[in-house]
Amino acid sequence: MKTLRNMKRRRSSFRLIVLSLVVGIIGGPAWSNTSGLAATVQVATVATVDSTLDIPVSGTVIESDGAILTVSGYETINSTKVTDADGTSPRVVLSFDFTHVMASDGTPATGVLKTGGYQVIKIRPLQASDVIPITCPYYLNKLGVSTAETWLVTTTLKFDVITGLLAGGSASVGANPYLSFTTFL
Amino acid sequence: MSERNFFLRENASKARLREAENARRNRQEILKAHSQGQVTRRDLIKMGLMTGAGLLLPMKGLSPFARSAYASSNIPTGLPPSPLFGVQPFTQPMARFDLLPRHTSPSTFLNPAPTAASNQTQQLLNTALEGVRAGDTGPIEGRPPGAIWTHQGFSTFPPQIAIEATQEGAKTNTVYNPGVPSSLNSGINPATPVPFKFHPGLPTQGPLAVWTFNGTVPPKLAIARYAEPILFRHHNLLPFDITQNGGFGRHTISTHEHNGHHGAENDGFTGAFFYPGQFYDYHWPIVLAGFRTINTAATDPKAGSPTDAGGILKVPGDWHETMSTHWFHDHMFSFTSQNVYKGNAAMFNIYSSLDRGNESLNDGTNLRLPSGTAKSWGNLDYDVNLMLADKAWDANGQLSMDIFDFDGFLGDQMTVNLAYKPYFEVERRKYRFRILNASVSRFFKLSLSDGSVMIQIANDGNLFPHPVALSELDEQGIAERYDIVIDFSRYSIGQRVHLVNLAEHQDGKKVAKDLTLAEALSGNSSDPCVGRFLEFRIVRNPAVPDVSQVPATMIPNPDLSLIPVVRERTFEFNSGAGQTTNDPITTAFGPWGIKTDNQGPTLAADFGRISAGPSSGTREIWHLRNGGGGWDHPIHIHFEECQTLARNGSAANVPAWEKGRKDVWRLRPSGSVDITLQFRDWGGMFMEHCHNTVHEDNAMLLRWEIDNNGAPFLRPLPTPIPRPQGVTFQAPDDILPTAF
Repeated sequence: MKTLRNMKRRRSSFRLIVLSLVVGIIGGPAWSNTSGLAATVQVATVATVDSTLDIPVSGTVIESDGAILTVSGYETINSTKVTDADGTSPRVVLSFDFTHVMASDGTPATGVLKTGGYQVIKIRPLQASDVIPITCPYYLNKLGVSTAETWLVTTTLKFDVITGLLAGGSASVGANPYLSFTTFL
Repeated sequence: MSERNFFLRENASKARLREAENARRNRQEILKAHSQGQVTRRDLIKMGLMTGAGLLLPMKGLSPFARSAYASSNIPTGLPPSPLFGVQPFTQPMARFDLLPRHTSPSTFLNPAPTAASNQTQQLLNTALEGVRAGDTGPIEGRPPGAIWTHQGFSTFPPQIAIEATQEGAKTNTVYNPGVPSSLNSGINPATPVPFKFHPGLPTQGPLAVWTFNGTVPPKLAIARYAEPILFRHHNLLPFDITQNGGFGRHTISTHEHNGHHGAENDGFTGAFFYPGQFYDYHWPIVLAGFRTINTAATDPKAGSPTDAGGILKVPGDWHETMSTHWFHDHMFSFTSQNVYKGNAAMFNIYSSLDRGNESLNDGTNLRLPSGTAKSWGNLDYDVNLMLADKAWDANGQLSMDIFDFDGFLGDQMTVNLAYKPYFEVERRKYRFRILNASVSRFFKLSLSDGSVMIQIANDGNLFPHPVALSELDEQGIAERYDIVIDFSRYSIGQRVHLVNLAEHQDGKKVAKDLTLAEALSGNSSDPCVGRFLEFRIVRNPAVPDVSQVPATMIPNPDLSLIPVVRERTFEFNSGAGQTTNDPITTAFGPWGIKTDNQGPTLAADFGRISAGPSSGTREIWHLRNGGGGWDHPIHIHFEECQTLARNGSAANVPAWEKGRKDVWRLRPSGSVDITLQFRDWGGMFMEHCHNTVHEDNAMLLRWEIDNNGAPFLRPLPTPIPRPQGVTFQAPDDILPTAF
């Protein structure tokens, strides 16, 4: 019997190697079970299911200088369920639109902090519930994107896993916890 | 199947590692034979090793997807890990790109002097080249001969700068020029020879393992400015013997300046490849699109090039078409993935009156993006190129490529500028990063490890109409360039923050899951390329104040409202492609392909087939459709930047970062993109293809051409057929009914 290790030593002719490989793979007792796990059938048939949801967002954020921001508004979630033809589990292409989430520190002179129409697109496995925290830029339009800070919007989405439709959701907002992840040399 | 543990860890059981390594070696025998021309994909199908859909049969001892004999049910054989030889992440500095020298007076610097038409001076051929007999001769230049392949505009835009580079096997770099002082290059002394290693603690790469520009690392950077035409002479110094390739890679090459607005003879057409011992002169005129019809008197300073004195040289063309961040790479028919992976990839910064590369010049035109001040243009101090690529290496530490199927190739080690997980020292100020995804099949999705803001300013080399503040970038497909600004002034000296990849793959078809930042940082992903991969070390305050800006308005899109759309075309990207032709040189066999205009079957690539022939001087709308099936495709259209009109049929679905111009679109699973583009200034044959280069090679690529730009162009154009003895031409194999 030819083992794969033996076959590796034979380099003279590719066709010989390949033929040996086939014999070795199919004939060797260690390799006799050729049943595979991923016999992907790549057929271009796909079903998609779209759904949309507006989710209220509210909460308070304490900035590094101690200012307290009151955040309100809603985010819009667009979901497209994609059923692949390759046997993998369905996924959802999610678009998070934070355009209508804004904040104020209660001082009229400050103005309204906005996200600049911030969007995030994420591909996630379809599951009954998915918790997706996203840091979200915000800034005063008059000061521009260079002054943007971040807060964290944590969105919990509910799906009907049979249809793939969005079934509900909720969101909360808070300070960006990852800022403490920076480390010192 | 269970997807977990597809990438084996170094601490997996010895039996599983041995099993996976044996399977990989056997796959590499196949890849080696294919790359050396001993076997075709069709042969593999006949031998029963591969399905018509492009999959290795799920045999144990061959496919990584076959069930492991040493694990419980539904656990695949998996991929053996690339050994790290004890190397830890973030223990080496990231070397910045190596500047390619710019030489003035190309006609005297280059020998022989460049010529408008291909230089057909004969030379004696090396008999190790395929199809060469003793005494055979062939031309010194691989560019096809004759009028059609003569440089367009060569006398109008005579080369002013020569850049000369080779393609060759790995060697030590003794002439490294980062273009910045050591203090801005993490302390690297450029005078110290640079051996070809992914990390100082990893083995030196052999000359057959990697083939890069000039054979060295760091990767190369070319610099240009508008109105300063470049003659890029590319010498092929790869082995004459096709079998001397270290198991993958093809020694014939064609260099695509992605996405240059040049004549087709300079586009790196997939069928215009050249052989070892030859050179190819690429003429990059560096002009604004529309130069023949817009601003022809060159009166607008926004359409301009930086002068050495800090002024502006006004140029013809539409300033809304100004470009910035390009790259150039191999486009060899059916072997692009192997050759680019092996090192045929470089970056190319283009400077303009708007994007000057000087942050202090305040003339009302310069956008003053982070760069530096020492030079009047092209400062790299705070303008950093990053080339991201996943790699794999074998038990000896030599670069290794694998085929688990034709869905795509994934490496298990992250590199930045061909360095394994490096660190980069920064000052407390703004930096511009020009990020290129130079992978074969891997998509990235980037975030900072603290979830803080990055400002995206450009996409595919095109500055946005307006900057976009993001805490995570969109997925970045292969060949896409994202220019971002990070302001490190918010950190303290001594802090570290990382770039993190959120996109988790389980195969080469698509992203399996976009992780949250917490998930990516947890270390629990089964994909070893998820998580931190580049460490920024904040080391000091800048010596001079940061005067760079990120303006609220940068480059609005060109106004196309008065340009009629003459026709629309539809391209659907599918698997299960058929082939209608059988030319041994020009055809490839699927499984991937493109269906054009909803007619006929999905077709595998044939660079002798014309799928579209838009007329010069017109504008069209192209609909790009993902045929579905569970994959994503980053589709690249050559020649001129396009505008995105809609995603999934709606303009409202186009995100802010795609509202500028682009040249690569991720279609997304089951998605579609509608774009509009113009055909002007130059003529010839161009391409459209998936930039998952495994898909491109097998065979999701088509040829289109601008057919009637006047003499010497023909309708249709003859197809070049390169051989060492010279390029011949033949009539197109096929012209689709809706092409013209």
